[in-house]
Amino acid sequence: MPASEKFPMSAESRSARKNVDESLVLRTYRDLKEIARLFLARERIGHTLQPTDLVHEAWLRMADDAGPDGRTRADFGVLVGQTMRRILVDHARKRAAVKRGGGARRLTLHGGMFTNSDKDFIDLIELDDALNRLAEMNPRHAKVVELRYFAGMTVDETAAALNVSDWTVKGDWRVARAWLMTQFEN
Amino acid sequence: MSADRYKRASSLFLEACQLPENQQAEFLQNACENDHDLLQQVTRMLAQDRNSDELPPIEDFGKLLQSDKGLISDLMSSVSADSVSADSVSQAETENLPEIDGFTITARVGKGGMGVVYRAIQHSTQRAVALKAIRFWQFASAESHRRFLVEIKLAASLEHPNIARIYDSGQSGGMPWLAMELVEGVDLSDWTQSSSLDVRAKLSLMASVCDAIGYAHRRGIIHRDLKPGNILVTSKGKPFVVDFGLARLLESDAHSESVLTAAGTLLGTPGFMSPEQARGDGPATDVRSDCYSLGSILFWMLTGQHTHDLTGSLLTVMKRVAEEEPRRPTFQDRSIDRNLEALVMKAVSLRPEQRYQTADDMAADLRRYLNGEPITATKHINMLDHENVRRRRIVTGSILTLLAVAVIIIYSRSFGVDGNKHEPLAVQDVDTETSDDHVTQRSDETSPSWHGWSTQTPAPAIAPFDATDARQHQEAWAKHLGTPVEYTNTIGMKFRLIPPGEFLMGGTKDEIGKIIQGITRGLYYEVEVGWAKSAGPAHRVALTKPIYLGVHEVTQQQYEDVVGKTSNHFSPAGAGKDMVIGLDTTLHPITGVIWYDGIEFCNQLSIKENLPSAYHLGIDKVPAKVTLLDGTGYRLPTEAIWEFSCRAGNTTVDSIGGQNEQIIRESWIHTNSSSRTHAVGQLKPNGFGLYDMRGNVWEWCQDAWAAEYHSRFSDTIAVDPPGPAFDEESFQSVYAQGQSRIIRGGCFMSPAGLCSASYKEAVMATNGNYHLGLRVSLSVEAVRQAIAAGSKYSSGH
Repeated sequence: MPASEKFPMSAESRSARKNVDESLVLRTYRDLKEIARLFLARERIGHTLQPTDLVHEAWLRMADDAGPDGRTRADFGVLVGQTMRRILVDHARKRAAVKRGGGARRLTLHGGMFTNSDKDFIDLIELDDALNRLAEMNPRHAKVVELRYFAGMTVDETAAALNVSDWTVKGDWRVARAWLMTQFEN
Repeated sequence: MSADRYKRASSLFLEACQLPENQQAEFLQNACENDHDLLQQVTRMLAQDRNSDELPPIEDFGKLLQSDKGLISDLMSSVSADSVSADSVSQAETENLPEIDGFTITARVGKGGMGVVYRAIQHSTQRAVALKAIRFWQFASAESHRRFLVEIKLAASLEHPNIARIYDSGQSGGMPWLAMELVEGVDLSDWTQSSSLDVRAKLSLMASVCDAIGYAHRRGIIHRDLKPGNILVTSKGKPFVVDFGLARLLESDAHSESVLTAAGTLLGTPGFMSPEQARGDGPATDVRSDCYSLGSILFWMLTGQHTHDLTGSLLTVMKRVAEEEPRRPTFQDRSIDRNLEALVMKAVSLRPEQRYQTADDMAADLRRYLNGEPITATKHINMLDHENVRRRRIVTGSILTLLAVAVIIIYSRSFGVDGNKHEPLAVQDVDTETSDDHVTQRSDETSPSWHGWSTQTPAPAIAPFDATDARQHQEAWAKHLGTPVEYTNTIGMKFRLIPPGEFLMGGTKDEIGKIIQGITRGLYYEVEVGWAKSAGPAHRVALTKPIYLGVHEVTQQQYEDVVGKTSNHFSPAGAGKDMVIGLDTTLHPITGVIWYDGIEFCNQLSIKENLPSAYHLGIDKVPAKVTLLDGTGYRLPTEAIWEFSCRAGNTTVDSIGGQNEQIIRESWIHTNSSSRTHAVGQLKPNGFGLYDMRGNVWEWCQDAWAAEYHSRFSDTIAVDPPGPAFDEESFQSVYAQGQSRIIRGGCFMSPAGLCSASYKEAVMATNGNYHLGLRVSLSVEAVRQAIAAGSKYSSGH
């Protein structure tokens, strides 16, 4: 893709990213470990836990500590969103590969009895592929989806992170979401 | 779809969104003219827009977290300081995918020690490739840089079914890159862990890898960095070796420290490095170095362990690899036979001249072994046997030392000379005469009216009481019941008699308030506050039936003895095996059991000992309906029994804040556990002689959970409270009354506050994880019968 079409990361954002407070990151890391413990211990049925829950939880804790200003938080969010997407998709791909390889999984007596929802779920691999296609056509739209879906950012936070107006984020999200959904129709 | 068409569709879509629904169709008809595809695309987008404004959720993310422990660690490390601060520059660089002439990069697919890998389309051929951008190239000297480029050109000439082709290479802005065959698969490490493979499958895969390396060697190319991460395996089980020649970039030359540092970071583990490489002896690195690495990979695949102990600083480990003979694989896995052991040991010989001289030789021996033919490595066996004699002597020596140490430890424990302030050991301090007085005195205070008990029985254990009292109560009741204070069942599980008694159950307002203060306002705030509150109000509870409670949490060994083989998280075969390397985990508590597993364990154990079951487990529906029976067999303790047993008369230890030190000292919790379970019974027992009531693992109780259950007892004494009724029907919500089950005692990851005797959490009966185990109880009747049967048995001889 030509450079001109690439989504430009604001210079401000770039430099701010380097300044993400290290102690903040360490604290968040520690917090996330604790959150992970909670998640492992207490999965709720009827509530489909999402990665954004994890990120939100981290942010709530950051806010509790009277922590970062909006800027740092936005930069942190960008990193989290992007990493979250990559990790989740990598794992989905690995699992798919393992499944095809016939790797046997031990099922416990009661395993699997709660896969009960008739809700539609997203296929991570499909989403990732579609997002890659979207990024080729409009990188900013893809970025908005990544931030909102994988980092759980609000419109305001997304706007701050991308250095654009709220209005732009709303429009981008609406178009990108509708387009992505058409990609999953079949 | 092109960018232009997407743009056109986007603006039409947004315009149409502004219009009332009934005008949209007409507007689009006009705007799209004859472009039917565009019309259709925008119409579909509008339909989607009307449906919802969200994307659907990811399926069972929570389950994913549970089932895929690697995911958590990846998530965690991704947000670690390393990836955000130190790595922030490269993150920023890679976020906007790099541009490399001749390729369209579509996605980042991974990051290895050597660089970042992207999925890309090569323009000239239109094929999908894996494009590797080399990290840390700026640390390499001009000379190693040049050598690297030469090496890559050579490597590009390799054509072998088990080697990922290099299609092209070059530099972009000084950064070297190479375009490789895109292998859809996982690396050997993931493959080994995710597939249930038998030894033959592993050996045959390694034979193919040896073929590939042998082929490269014949063409004069040494890999230099063979490790599981550099071997990709497709879903069909076909291996591909990648990254030939890349290690060249890391080899140190006159230029020094930065390279060394970078190399240290990059190579990560020296677990697969040959001794000559560990010594930094570049000139001595030859094809046999690769053979060594192949051997060490094989060693690792067979045993899950490395040839050398990898603990300690990088330099220490490198020294060890460079100078010490590898461990023997049978040390880890006795099932490996002597021929296979000889084969592996030959491959990883310290001295290159004793190894396979070519990878082809090793491949041939692997195939001979697979075909049941004699292998060349057997000569090696004789040598090993000589070695063996010498080692046995050393081992004998060490065992003697160990015994001596053990004696000293036992000695110092008995006499309390290890520096800790001990409560005096009960046995030493019990003066029978006074103790009788003491109990009688209590008895006078409370009997005969104590819950209808006759004065003929010993006094109930009424809190507060101390360890000495606790012991006296146990002995008085044991004597009265004609059963021992401590009973060992047929599979070696120990139980202690818990006397009847009375205590203040639950947390005081103050304690609960402090726990709530410590809860973070997050996703689970309401839920956790609910749990904390359900520990109150503190109220008197009387337990009128003596019972035996397990001295220890049920161990992995005991669980397997009863239920059969499991793959526990913290065991050599479990996902947490890295946390317990070299440890005998059979005495660690079993984890990962769901509540139903606990019930099942109780019933199986009862059956094994011919005891009437305490539970009926309905199998006609899901989830199984559990009914309490009168059987004298094994049970999970009720939470009242659990808390009474945990407190052992203590009413103060749980005040949050001031007195946690005792918990910290006496339990495996987050401050001392190294994030794993520990063998049961290593720390100090409580007044009743029970170990690990707090920490190590959470323990299932029999009771269901209901928020308001205990408030009904606020102004009365609860006698043998059974907990709320189970409610398997309403499993829509975990937090429905009676739906989830209670866990107690905290675990190795808990802060001290959560290990307080009154704190409880509620977990779905169908959830289990590696923080959660169990401890079981047994009726006095069952023990009495067993003792009677046992004494008949012995008197008959």
